[in-house]
Amino acid sequence: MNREYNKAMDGLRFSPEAKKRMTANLAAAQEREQAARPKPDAYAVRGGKRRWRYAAAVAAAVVLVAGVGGVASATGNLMGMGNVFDDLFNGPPAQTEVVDKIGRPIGASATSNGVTVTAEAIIGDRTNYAVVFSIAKDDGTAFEGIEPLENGVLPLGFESGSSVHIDGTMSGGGDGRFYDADPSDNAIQYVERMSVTAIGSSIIGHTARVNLSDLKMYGGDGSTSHVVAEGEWNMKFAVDYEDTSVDLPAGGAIEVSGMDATLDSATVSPIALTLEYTVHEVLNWEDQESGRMSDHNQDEMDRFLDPSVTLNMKDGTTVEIDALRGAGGTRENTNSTSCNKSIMFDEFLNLNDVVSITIGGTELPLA
Amino acid sequence: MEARKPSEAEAERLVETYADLILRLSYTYLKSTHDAEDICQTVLLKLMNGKQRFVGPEHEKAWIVRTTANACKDALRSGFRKRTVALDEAPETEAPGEPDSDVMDTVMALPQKYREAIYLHYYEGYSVREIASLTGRSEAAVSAHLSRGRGKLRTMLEGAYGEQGI
Repeated sequence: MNREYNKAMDGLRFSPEAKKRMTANLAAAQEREQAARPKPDAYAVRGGKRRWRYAAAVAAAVVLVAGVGGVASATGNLMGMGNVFDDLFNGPPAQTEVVDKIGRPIGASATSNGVTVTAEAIIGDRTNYAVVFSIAKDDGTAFEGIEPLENGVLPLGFESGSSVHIDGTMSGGGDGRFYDADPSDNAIQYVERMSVTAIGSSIIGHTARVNLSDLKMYGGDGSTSHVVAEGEWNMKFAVDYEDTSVDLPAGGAIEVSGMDATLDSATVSPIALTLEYTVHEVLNWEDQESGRMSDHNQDEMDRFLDPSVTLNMKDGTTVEIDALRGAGGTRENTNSTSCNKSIMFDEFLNLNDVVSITIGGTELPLA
Repeated sequence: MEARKPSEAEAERLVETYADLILRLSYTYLKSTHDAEDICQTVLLKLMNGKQRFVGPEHEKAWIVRTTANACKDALRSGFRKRTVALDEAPETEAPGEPDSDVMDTVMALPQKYREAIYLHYYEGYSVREIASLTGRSEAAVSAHLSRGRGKLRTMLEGAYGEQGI
């Protein structure tokens, strides 16, 4: 009997074609995740000349300790990202109609060692998303001894190698932070924001794969940490929401750090501005050893990836956006440099309140 | 062993070494091969991205077994497979064919903890103590699962295979 059992098990195997496909998918996914998870103190740089160099200005570990520099909110037209998620759960304040389109509750969860992590909701557009997880002990008690920093961020992080990966994405950059949305319950929240380069035009409909391990608390300056909850939390869910992105008129001239450039495409959604443009100068990239980006190369990438951006609101106010905070990539051509840039807003933007966006000195009306 | 390096060669090594093990173990838990490729990707990607250090092949294999078991339990607990229905509209790869065997069918009719013990002991060759370590159960519990599993199988198969023992 055990012989027949073993023989039946022997016959259960992936085909050579399936293994080949899995190998390719695995290698590609691993490369993407490495690109999406830059080192805390360095830009992620991939490829050599003529290939896309990718930079994420804000890395998760830095954010956990230092917090996120906020966009100056000059008007009442922007609402906090936390409020957006509150709307998804508790509805229905002012901007629920839009939030309902771009945000979706998820409800996928995983439990390990008495701690449950639940992917609560996701909001996003074609290439940017923010996903919020709740983390709670199953016995109903709260995590002890975790004091928020001055900016409200909890000094927590998952073990290195933890990831949220969306199938069909090549590279990306973003940030993550922990907070306590409701101190009266025992759950804390983790929100991760990412801008990605998608194979195809959009991540909507793709599968998100979540692999998280060991929740850690950082102490002091962030150089030390200890495990608060040991475990592994794996889950997947469909990236499913309505694309409310608006394409801005492109093809015109803009200026980037004093250089002439052409805006190839511009898309704005309630959570992000996504740009592609060509600077008519070649980025002066100096060879460097792999690893940390040299100061020269970092300055060069910053110069090419810092288009000035201003939101012009219907009430007459303006909101300056710090474009350097976003994720972006550059690729040198013979006489020019192709650039892509994704800037996720710190607060939810109701596009109905926006008249136009000024990019690199050129005002572009929302249709 | 060295830390995992991001390379296709490493992906190929992991798939060749562990994909079928993950398939068989996930089939044991989930009673289906439908999600095996996803489970496999999840587990192997976690290995490639992690900072685990292994003292030898058996240590690495034990990590694979534990992580696969956890991934399957999470899948069962979270309604993973139910949710993937919505994703079926996307092009799906064909799942590996499931075994056509009366004995396998009978084993798969046993409770999960019995299937787990039988697979790890009779197919993977782990001892009771090793299974206890892998699954976080006591040795007494694993022994009981094996013993009761064997008993149930004998009853269910009504002597057809009884003379061969298990």
